[in-house]
Amino acid sequence: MKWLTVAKKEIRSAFRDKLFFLLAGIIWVLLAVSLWNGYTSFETAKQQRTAAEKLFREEWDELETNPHSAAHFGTYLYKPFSVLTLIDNGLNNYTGTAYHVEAHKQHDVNYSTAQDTDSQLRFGELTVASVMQLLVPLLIIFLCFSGISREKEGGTLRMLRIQGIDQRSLLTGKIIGNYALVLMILFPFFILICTFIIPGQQQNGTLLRVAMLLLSYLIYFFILVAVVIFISAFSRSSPVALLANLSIWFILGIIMPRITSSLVENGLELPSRFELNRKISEGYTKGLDGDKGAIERYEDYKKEVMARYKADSVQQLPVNLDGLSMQYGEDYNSRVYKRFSGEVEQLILRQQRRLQYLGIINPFMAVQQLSMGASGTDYYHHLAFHHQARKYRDNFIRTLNMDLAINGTKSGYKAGNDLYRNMPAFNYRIPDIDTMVSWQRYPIAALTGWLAVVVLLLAFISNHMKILQ
Amino acid sequence: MLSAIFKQEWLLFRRQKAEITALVLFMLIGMLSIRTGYHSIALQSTQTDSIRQAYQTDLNAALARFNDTATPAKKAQARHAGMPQVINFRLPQNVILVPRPLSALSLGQSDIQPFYHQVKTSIDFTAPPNVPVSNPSRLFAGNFDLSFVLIFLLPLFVIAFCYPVYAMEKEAGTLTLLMVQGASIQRIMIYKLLFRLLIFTIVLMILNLAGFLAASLIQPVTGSEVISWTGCSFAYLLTWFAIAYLIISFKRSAPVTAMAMAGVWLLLLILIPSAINMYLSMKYPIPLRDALSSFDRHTGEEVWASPPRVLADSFFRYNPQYASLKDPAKDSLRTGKIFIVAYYDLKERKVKRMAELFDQEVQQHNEVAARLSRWDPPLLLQAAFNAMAGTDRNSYLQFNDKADQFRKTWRDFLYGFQLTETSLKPAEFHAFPVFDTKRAPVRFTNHIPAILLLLCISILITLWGHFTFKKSAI
Repeated sequence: MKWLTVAKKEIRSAFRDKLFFLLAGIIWVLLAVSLWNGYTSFETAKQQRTAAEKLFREEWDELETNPHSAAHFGTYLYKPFSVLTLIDNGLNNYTGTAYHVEAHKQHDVNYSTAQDTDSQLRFGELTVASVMQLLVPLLIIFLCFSGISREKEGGTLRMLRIQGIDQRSLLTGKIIGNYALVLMILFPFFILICTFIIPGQQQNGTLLRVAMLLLSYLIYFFILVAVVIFISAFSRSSPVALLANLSIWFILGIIMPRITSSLVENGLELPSRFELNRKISEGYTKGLDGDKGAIERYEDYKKEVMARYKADSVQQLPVNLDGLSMQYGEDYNSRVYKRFSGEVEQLILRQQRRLQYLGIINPFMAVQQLSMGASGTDYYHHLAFHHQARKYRDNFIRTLNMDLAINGTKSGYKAGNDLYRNMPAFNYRIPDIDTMVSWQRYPIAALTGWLAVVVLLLAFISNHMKILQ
Repeated sequence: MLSAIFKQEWLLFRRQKAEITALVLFMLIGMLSIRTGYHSIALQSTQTDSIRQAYQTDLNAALARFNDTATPAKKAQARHAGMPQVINFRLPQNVILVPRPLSALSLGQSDIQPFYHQVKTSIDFTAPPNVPVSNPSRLFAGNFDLSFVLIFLLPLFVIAFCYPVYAMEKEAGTLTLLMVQGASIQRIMIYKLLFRLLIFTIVLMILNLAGFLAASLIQPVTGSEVISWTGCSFAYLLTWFAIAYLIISFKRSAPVTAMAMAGVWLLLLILIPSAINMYLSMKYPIPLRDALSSFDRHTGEEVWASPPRVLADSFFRYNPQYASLKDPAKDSLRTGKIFIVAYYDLKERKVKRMAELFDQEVQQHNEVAARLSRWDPPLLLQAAFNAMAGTDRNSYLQFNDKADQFRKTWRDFLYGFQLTETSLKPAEFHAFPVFDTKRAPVRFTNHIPAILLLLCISILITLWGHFTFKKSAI
């Protein structure tokens, strides 16, 4: 257990150093402020959404009108914020907040915060996640950069060797000792997070998500401690070790995510909004896959309905043709939208996949994606919300059209208030943990791979390389 | 002495392969960023062309309908081809924001703000804007353009080149030697930093020049744009050298100096902007548009239910240019020509008042952001770059206002036919009003405050460094 001796010495010497307490204090302040920010933003968003949902529900409950007018009146669905956004707000500022349900039109999730703000938002936000991903690594660098180089410069390596400390014990002790210091700083905060989040959690999988989130960060920090210690072992001097570590931090944490995401987007170009809208519009009016145009499709459908009911005129039909044909149009429109917006989704998913592959060489990107995924604020969760909202929308409009079809044979038909009151509310179901894990399999593999590499490197360096010279 | 130090530094620099490699790497990253920025704007220009082409196709199809009477349905379409309502529906007018040349160097909000609108006579406040289709992960990561390289990376390279300036001399023992010879350490440090400033000025000029060349492929770059961009970027470079001088003046070891410089970088580029965003989201949260959407719907119903006479009166009161078209008998009917235009007119007037309240809240958020950003050099520079590139939020708001003005012109044009119940002839399709795509030129005077502020900050920091240098012991 010689490594334990080294680890204990590392902890004792850190406790004697003011720098440790200063760094721990800074990180604590940053984490506390970011948690407070997350909490207030979460509460504000929750209040805004609750008020908006109440407003639209009340409006809807009071309706007494023709179902088609009600379909045009529509409603709005808001993306609910999970309590995990306290930790990682992820892409929420960029993905839109509201989904408009209305007749004849399929929408994206619109109105992102970023649209209403200026470029200062692009400099980033102080969230628990950003502190964990970017600033705790700096803490680790400042704590560990001279872990071994300091021993070389101070001539204490020889003393350690005389005491019978071999390379393996030295490296393991340094890594475990510094990792323990990092945990000492962060563990109280982890407990605080759990007390914020865990009480009153009904959502399925939230606790598992929290566990996964914290575990990813623990692995991430372990990898970083080990890498910084390795760099320190192979650096000529402590300044060189510091510069090397800081350079790696800047490249992996600041530069690479921007460059790679831009290059990935340029490599897989998305269509313009105009092009997408036009494809959807023409897909409906001209028809998909050799189908007839909208007017001809309507005529054919009308004939089919008349034949089905053996009617010679629309007036003889026992159902309202407008209700049926509008639903026929909605079904077609839904198909068109699914086709073209699906193409865009696939392109973005391919871009996401490429960004996930980059996590293999950049653990910062891996943990960033994993953190957003576990918090339910990544692109996959955004897509899940959009798909559920679209499904709800299609059922919502179908209910109204079918009511018109069945009851709208009388002219000036107005549905009773019951129809609107009984319309089910939209409930976003956050995808289960298995689905989330399958979306995040590459970042998980990347982080696990990094952990394995670090452990193997530890064994390799201990056995095959000379650092105790 | 200056020339002797420059000469010695030059000799040292030529031997430092790491520094030369770092500079080359920086230039390569800069060039790549120019290429990426140019690619984004070139793509936008291609998309703009496709919008224009599609409009031309639609226009030709609309004109062809006049003569196509092959079937009864087409005959009906030919009869309606000149109806202003049909034209409004089938041929919405494209209003396009032509990118300024410098937008390739500072993409700003161009990836999240609509660069075109399809204008009809009425306005739909609940319609989502035509925001570019994008991957939110890319928006989250931020743009990779020359402004990013200058704002984020340039300071890092300045730090890497400047942090050992004092400690290196001290560790080599040359400082004591120089002091014995009566040389001023402070002056030597200043000259050494000036040498590095010269190198970075050359690098900055090369990158800027390459940027201007790329930007001029989009549109010719004006002298004012060149001076504004160069002035701002150079003032920012000076700010970072002033910061380097201040930190060096504390005469600490190389690791401590490097850590302190990295700390300032972190503070100015990450922590202060994050703190500003945090403050804004807590104090001035962006409101949801729920109240506006609800108001729009209720107003629509309420106005629709108004007596036609009341609507007509309101319309003629606010649009006196159509007073000659008053027809009390017809104006009292829902089927009258005035009813529908008066409905849109009154509804728009009412909802606009509500929309302005919403906009005020958003505006307040952004005004506070702009005020706070002024005191952080990176945010200040980003705002200045975006403003001269025409990619800041204000430029898009101005574009939206201009688009709305054009909408009124288009509406008046079509109402001239609709309210007189006349149809347009094919020749009149070529007399449609045209949106003026010209943008206000970039004026250097608009960017002098940003440059002066950066220079003032640099001078103050330099003076502080000067004072500290004298006070702190070797």
